[in-house]
Amino acid sequence: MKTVSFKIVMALLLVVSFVYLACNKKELNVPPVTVTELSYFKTESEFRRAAIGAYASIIDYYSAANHGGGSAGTGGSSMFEIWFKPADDISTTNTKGDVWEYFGGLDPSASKLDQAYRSSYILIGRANKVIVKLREADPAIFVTSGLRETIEGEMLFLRSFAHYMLWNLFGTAPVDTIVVTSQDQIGLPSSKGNELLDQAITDLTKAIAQLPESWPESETGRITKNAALGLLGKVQVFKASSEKNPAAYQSAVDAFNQISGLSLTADFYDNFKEETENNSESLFEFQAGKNISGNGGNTWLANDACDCGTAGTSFQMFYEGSNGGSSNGIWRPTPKLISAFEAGDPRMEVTIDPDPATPRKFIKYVVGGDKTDGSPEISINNFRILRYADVLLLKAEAILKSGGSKSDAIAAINEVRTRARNGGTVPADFSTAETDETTIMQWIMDERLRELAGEGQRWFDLRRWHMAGYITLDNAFFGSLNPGDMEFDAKYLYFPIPLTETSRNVNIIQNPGY
Amino acid sequence: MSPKTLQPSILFAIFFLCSIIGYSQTQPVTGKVIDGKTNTPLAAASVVVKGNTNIGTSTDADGNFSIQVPGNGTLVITSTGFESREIPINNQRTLSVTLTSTTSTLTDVVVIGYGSRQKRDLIGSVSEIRPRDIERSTNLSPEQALQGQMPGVQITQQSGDPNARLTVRVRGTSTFTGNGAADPLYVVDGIPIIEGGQGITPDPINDPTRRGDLNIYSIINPNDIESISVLKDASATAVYGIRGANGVILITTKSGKGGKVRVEFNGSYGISNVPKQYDVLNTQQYVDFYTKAYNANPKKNNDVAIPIEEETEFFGSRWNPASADFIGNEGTYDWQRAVRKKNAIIQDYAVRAAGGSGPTTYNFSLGYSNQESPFVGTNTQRFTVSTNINSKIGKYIEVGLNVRGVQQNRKDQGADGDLEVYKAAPFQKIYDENGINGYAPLWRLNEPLTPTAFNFSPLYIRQGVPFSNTLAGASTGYTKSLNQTGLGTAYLQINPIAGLKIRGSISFQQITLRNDNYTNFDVWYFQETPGNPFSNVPNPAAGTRPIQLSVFNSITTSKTAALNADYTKSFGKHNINLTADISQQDYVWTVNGSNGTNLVDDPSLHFFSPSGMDRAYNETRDRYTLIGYLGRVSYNYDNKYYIDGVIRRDGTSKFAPGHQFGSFPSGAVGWRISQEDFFSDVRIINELKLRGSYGLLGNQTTKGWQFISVSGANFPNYNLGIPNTNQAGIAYTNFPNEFLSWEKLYSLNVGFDAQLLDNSISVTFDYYNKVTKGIIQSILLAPSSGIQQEADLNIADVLNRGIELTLGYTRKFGQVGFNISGNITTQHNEVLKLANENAALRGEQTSLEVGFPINYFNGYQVAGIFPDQKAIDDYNAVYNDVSSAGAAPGDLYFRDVYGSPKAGSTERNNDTDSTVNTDDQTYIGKSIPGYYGGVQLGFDFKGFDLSALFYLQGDVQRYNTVRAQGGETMNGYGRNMLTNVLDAWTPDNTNTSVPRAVYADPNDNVRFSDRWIEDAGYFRLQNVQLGYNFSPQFLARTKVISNFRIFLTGINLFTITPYSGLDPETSDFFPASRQFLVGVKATF
Repeated sequence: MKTVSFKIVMALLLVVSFVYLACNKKELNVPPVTVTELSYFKTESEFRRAAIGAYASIIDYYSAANHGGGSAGTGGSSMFEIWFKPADDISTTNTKGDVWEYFGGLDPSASKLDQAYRSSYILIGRANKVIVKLREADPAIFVTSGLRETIEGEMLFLRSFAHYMLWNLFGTAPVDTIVVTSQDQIGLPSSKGNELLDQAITDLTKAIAQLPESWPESETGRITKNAALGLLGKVQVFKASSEKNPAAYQSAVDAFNQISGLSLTADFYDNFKEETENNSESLFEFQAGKNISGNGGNTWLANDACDCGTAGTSFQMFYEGSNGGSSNGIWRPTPKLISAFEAGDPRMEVTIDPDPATPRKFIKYVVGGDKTDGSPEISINNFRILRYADVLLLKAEAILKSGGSKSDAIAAINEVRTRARNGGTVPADFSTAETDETTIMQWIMDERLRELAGEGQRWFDLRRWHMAGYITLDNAFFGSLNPGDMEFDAKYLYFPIPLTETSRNVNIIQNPGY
Repeated sequence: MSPKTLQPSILFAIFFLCSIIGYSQTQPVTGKVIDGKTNTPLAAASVVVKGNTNIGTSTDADGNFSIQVPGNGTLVITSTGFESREIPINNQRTLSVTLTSTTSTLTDVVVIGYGSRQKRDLIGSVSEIRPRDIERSTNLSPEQALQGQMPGVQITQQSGDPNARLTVRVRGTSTFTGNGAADPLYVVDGIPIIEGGQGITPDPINDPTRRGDLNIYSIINPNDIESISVLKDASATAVYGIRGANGVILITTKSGKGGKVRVEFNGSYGISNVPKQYDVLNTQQYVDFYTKAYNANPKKNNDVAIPIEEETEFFGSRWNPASADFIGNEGTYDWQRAVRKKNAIIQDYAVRAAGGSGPTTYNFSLGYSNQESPFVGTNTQRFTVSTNINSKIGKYIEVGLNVRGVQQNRKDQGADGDLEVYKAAPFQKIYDENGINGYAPLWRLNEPLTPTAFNFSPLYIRQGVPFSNTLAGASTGYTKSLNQTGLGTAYLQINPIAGLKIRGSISFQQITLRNDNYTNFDVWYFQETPGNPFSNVPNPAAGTRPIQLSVFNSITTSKTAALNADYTKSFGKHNINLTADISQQDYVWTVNGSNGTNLVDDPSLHFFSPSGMDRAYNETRDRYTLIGYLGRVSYNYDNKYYIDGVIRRDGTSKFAPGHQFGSFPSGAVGWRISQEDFFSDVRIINELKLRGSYGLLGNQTTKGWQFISVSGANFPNYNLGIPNTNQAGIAYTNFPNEFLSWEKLYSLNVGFDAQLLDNSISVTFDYYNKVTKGIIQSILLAPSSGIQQEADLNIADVLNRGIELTLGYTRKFGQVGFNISGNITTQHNEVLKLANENAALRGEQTSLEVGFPINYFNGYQVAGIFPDQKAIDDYNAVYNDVSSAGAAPGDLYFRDVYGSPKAGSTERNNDTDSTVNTDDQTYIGKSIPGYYGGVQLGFDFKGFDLSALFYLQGDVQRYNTVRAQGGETMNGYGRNMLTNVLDAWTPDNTNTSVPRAVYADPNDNVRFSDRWIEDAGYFRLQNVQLGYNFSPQFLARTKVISNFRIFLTGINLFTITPYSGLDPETSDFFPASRQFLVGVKATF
């Protein structure tokens, strides 16, 4: 019977190991091999880092990297062309067929539309993720007092900025405030009316209370309370003008009035020089720098510095090399812009190349102020996204249209003009005695053209003023090099929702006419 | 199963054991087993007592056996390829048994997943080959032997390189093909082999080749293989559950059979070469052709033609027949000849010793092979060792150990691209006795050489320095690969009662692969477009000549623990087999690599530490765990009615907790009609069995962690502060798909097996229909999701269906034996569903579209050649070809097939729009053959035997890379071309399909069109073998040798194909080689 007992022992041994294996389903909990979200967001510094990741998305709006419909990264390929070139201040080509200048044939497959659209939602997605994580986090991990609220404020601002951009470009793109965690959450519906702006107003209103007045020098570039107030006012003005809504104009005035500590720089040109970035006039700038790690320090790669496609060899617009050229030709002031300046306005010679050679070049951000770095050369000059002169002119408009003091409105314009003449005589102040609203509005519109030329504001202004009925957009108005080729139609106020969205999201309604 | 449920069986076992002890009255019996055909002793035949398989032995080399058996028992004697016999002992002490070889293979035992079956009892779809068929192939990797020898298994050699991976598809392509996702599962002696990196897209920047150059399945020496079974239908593969969807290749290695030691030697030695090369222009034709092409469309400056190469001071006159240095005065150098070896040596030797002593059986083997590539500079050596020992401890316990080790070394100092050298301009010199290593450089370096002033001038034509001197390049560097692999399994088995086996085993696998790549400074002289070798060396010391090194190490380990129970029992006419298995396999893969520049070129210091100064390092890991539970019931009544049920439950860490477990059921039924009484009158049909199966299988091949949000590989950064300081950011930008799951394959199979006319004809027929659902498609989501990366979603569906037919005929005509068998498989592959409302994904060779096969060719259709200007005007009056910058007579015109798709749709629009643009690219061919098959012929006469294997495939097209990418295109100049271009259209030569010779191709004749897609069906004589077996009577006199065979083999002797390239199957630049071998097989 010895063998029998041995056999029983062996059988039991096998059965025990069998049971051990069978029960051990937790063996499937294999630890992952990379940094995961689950193990992240555990410390204050991790939140800061994630916030930087969201900031980095801003790069995409201004990057020259071409990621060809990119998978991992996105953006680039000078996507700012899509909102710079439809305007009447700047032009690159006399070739009919450039849809951004002449509109005709603009369709949902345009890859730059996709880049702008996608980049906006990547920015929103990153901001949303940080917001959600902040709310889930144990408050005890925030050692620095108020940091949790501050970061949330910054993220709300960034989300608002992206929603604002989406409204200006597409009008009906979805409002996005969620972090997608399951497949059925994909497919947000188109927004209606001004929901994109309304969301930005809600977010900015909340952010204002949470953001600091200023940052230490080492953190310069992060969002301040003034930035949020400025953007809130701007969004309110946009909402008001597009809805012909005086109450919103009043809200804008209220927001602008809370801005404190900002002033126009003495010299207009300080707003376009690398040496005078983040100055007293600045509310929000894209921090272009030389030290983006990897890839030869190329600032203009897409935000994740992924060298996935052909990186822009140079930042193409504000670059003194290659004739200030872009891939589509040289950036030129339109005849309309040239004639908008009064003779002797000092702003003109730093905006437009005084050399009357053909073609005349657009030189704002370039002459004397452009600074390039690295090889290939790139501009490291900050893009001024929101500056105080813009705020003053918006404020003038808001005061005027909300029924406020016309002389206050004119005074705001004159503040900009005073700085512009910089001790000289031109441009002279407008008369504060003027009471005709149309005249004053025309002053504002003209001043915005001169002051903000080539800063990516103009198309957005034209668009909302058209909605407000202050102007009527017709082909002649644009002043592009070949006005006769313009094929503008009211449908182009809303760029088409990109095919990449409409083909994947059944809840999207394409804008009319595409 | 729990301890409680096992208890009764233990009690039962004790009872049963006692009864055996009580009834056994044994006596010794000795005997000899003879092969009835050759009258020679039959070694390794199995001798067991009927009803008690625990008592058994096998015959020694002389066919002798001795066994202790009950005097009233019956012995069952079996041997592969022979009819088994049952001999009642009737108290005899010596027996002489003659086995006759089977004309019918019904009693052959076929290895199936987790067990084996006699062929007649097989109701799943399983094909198997045995050593004598495996030995036909000389490939290092065993799968090559399957080509043409079994239906439903498509083997494609990607390259004639003995190291190249083979593509294996079982019954079609059931999923999208990236990263090994459609490859079958390989199981070696019951252990699934996991290859590192499968399912993972390699890092495109740091290392595109992490899976390595070596085909890891060559770790198994074909000489060690006892059988290869391929499991094809659901009932056969469901036992591998989540890994079964692409079919399973079961490799069973040889083991000892007991008895006196038997030593086997196999050796072969032969030559291998690539007999064909491309017909290219000689120097005079070349000059003439390019001059003509250039004159047809010269480069112009302000409408004035620039003479060809005018900008190059040295060669401005070289195109001028009047000048002394006219290229046309030069000789022609045959580059293809220079890279081909006349005869590369391939050799393979294996020794195996197997036998047994008492309760122990053993098998040891040693193998060596050395395969030179048919192209210069490359060879592969492989050493293999294996040991397996099985031993019975007492009556009920068995232990065993199976260990296998491989070392494979490959040194590649070959010409890159091999036959791609056809592109070298014919006047470009190969050798130069004054050049470095005796090769002709492409550049002249302007001394002094300093890193900042690195000036060079071309020695050949400026734009088209025709082609890198790859032969010279090979002399300046190498790639070495070293693969060391160990596989080992140890088991403990107890047989508590008759028919029940419980086995616990543990297995380890480690595959290490090291790749070293070294290039010295001089390679610079020989490169087509050299870069500054100092570019990564900021401040080199004077006279420094940096070298480039890159190294990577890939280590794959896996551990498998398994417990298996198998119970076989017959009650009257009821036969039942129960199998249960539980296993866990853990896999870890690490790959790390470095590349960089080294300043010291000391051959013994070709690694980084001594002086490495500029290097990048990267590392990647992957791991997962798989737990599987398996239960199978096989029942038959009277070997007539069969039913099988399998359920496999798998848990995998590749998916999210809560979504890790899946069940894979399958069922099969079989009916041997020929066993029915009513069938006994049917004389023609000896055997007829109907089979059917249906089941669910899985495929989990995908990169892991898709259910977890992970940070992107590239971290976003942003500048803050004055001055700007770069701040590291992080972003979680993917879509953690918690619901991601394995792909599900629903597989149906119906078929029959039949034997006719005294078993001389065998027929096997199967119809299969497989639908894969939820194929993991990586897609970009709607941008508004905010998800930046492609997300893996279970979306696409694919259908594969077809039939398999195998026919065999065996007959003996007097002393001449003859057999022929053939098989054919058809496959219909069709994408049924895709992501984003079936949005088509069209690429030239990688198109996915509903209603079309995977990876069909999408291109333009050539409508014809413009005969004259009027035809061009007529065409242009109607059509606008957006790719054409201007056509002339002799250019191609293309069809306007479709209009622009409607907004928001990718569907083709049948309303043509008179515009020829990318919308008009259409289906022009497919890469998955509609059918393939093989034919085997065999004759034997006395000691001689002759066999031949033919392989064929058809209904398949192929993109002719050589013609399309330079050989017949005229968009540049400099490189050599195929002589096809001599037939280019001219006003006097209009009956041609080759467009006119024109520089820069203004009409874009080269575009991806059906011009480059060729029928790639073929019929090939895969191999022929003539062998002679020395007669046993003769060998008996040696007293040592019991078997001796010599043979001659020819491989890849001829191919009939309409394909105009060198080979319709393999790479255009490394076609399959032709081989002749002589071999010996001896048993001692």
